[in-house]
Amino acid sequence: MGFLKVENVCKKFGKTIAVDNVSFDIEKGTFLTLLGPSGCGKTTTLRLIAGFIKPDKGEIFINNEPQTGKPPYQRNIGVVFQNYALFPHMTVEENVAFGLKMRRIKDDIIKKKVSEALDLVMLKGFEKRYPKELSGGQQQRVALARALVIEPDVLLLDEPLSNLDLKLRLQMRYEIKRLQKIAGITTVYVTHDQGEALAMSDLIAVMNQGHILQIDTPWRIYNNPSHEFVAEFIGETNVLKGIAREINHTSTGIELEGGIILHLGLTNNEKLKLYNGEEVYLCIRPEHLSLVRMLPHKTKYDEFNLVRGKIIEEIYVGSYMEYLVELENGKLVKVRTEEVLNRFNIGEVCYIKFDYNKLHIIRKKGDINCR
Amino acid sequence: MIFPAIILIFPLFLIPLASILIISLFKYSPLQSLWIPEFTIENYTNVVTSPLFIDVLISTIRIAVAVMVLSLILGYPIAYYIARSPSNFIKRTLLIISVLTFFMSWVPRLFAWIIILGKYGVINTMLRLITEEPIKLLGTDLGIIIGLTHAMTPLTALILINPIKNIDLTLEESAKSLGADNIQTFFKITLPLSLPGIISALILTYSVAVSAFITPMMLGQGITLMMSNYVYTRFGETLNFPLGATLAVVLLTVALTTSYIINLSLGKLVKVR
Repeated sequence: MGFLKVENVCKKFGKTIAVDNVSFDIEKGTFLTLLGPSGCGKTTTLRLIAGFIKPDKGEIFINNEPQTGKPPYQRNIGVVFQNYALFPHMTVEENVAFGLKMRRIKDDIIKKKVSEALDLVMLKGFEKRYPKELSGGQQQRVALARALVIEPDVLLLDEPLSNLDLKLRLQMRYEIKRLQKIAGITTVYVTHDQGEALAMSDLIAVMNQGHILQIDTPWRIYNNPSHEFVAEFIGETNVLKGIAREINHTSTGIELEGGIILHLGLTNNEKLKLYNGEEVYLCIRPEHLSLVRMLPHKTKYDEFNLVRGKIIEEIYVGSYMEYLVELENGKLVKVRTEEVLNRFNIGEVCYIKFDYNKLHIIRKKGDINCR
Repeated sequence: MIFPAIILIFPLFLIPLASILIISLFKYSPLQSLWIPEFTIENYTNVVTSPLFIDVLISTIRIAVAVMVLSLILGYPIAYYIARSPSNFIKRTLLIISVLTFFMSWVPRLFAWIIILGKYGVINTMLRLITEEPIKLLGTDLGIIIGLTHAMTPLTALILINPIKNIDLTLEESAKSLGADNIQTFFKITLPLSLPGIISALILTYSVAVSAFITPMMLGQGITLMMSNYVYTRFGETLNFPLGATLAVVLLTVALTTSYIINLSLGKLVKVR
């Protein structure tokens, strides 16, 4: 068993299923992010691990010990809330010392540890200040210090950066990650910001409607989504429905709606072993597509599928262009290109180059990967 | 913008107050008119040296403090449940009970207490099953304290609901996640943060209790008095306006001073918000 194990946990609120059979098992020191849209169950899962709410079914283990029945004050956890939850009637020093005081640690040791913790978050000298005298970023760091100083088994963070301005948010990402690495504490981080998740995590669990759809490294979540929701939620992807078709006894293609056929690269085909007639989702990111004006001379070894379409919209982003292209079957595809000078016009007919090797296929039911 | 308020305060409050102050310094003669416009402080010396007066004064403050503290002890949990209970049913029930009690008219309420506390009342009838001796509750300090606490507890509860609601739940959760059990969380987080509300409740309760009239009149049965009863009796006996005015001034001063002392000493406990 890993250091933090969540096993088949379920939680209902009235008729609403908030957490539906969620499981994962992570090693000590792992930074796991629960990522998903509002209402997907990520915060509820976090609160179940903390002990603020009890699961209807399932078990949670920290360091091989079952936590069921244990209220939060008997679990060795540290929590950082979205609103920091600093005690307004206590100084920074008293706030950070609180957990240690509750653990009956001697005063002189408390003083030393508090000093070290404030040093770590670069707030030395702020001991006697009150929370209302601090900026958002400073309050955040006090909240972190307070949670870390007790050296918990598990650190739980509930969207801690949501209330900060963008610049601070980006800065704090690396701060939190740095502190976590130094302390080596198993961490569960909740956010709806995929940028944060991709930048900070060792593992990401993408959630929707109470389930974990895929739990994997950031690289694999981005490049090998195993579920169409994950593909659509992370980064930008074009997702097209299609049916696998055998072509020429040797290669497979995907038939999109309306009869458009895309050939698959060899590696893709071998990996998946699709059967004829199987329903799939075809995913490709806008940055892996390109546009050409004319049908070039196609050789047998060409790596690209070419599909005709019409430019519906153009968006100038500064460092790149985005085009919304309508295919002959009515479906819309987003194409991103760095070619900002030679622009296409709206209404112009063009051809989209689909790279054989960058096409990502997901089986219709969507595999749910768990480590 | 405060002009209209000043216009109201002057005739309705300050002028009557000033006239009472002036009359208290006048001479009194039972043979001549209500008061003689000659200045003297003999009223004050009479009042302050009267042993009965000192007795009643101490009694009043003692009762008022007891009521203040008991109402807090009983009212806080009620307020806490109304503020925090996940069950709407409990919230609503407690709230309705509190509001109804608070708005109930004094006289019928006190008659009910007379029935409960009397020698042949509910409490003593039940006690008779166990012992021979009935407990004397009417005509004692305790009886008055019970009656006043019953009236002031809902007031305390209603005042405390909002301050408790304003304490973010995440603060309590935070304390628990750091290792504080429910009791520690209450005393270290909830209680200190609700202190301003507690002070308001205490001052208000004390002010009402210290100037109570009907309750000590009916439950004291003439045996136990509070300040307002004393003023009423002394003044009512002789229609001695200067004396009555003096007693009124003394009562007001006592109430204000003690309230101020309570406010000051509790205020020291409140830290930076």
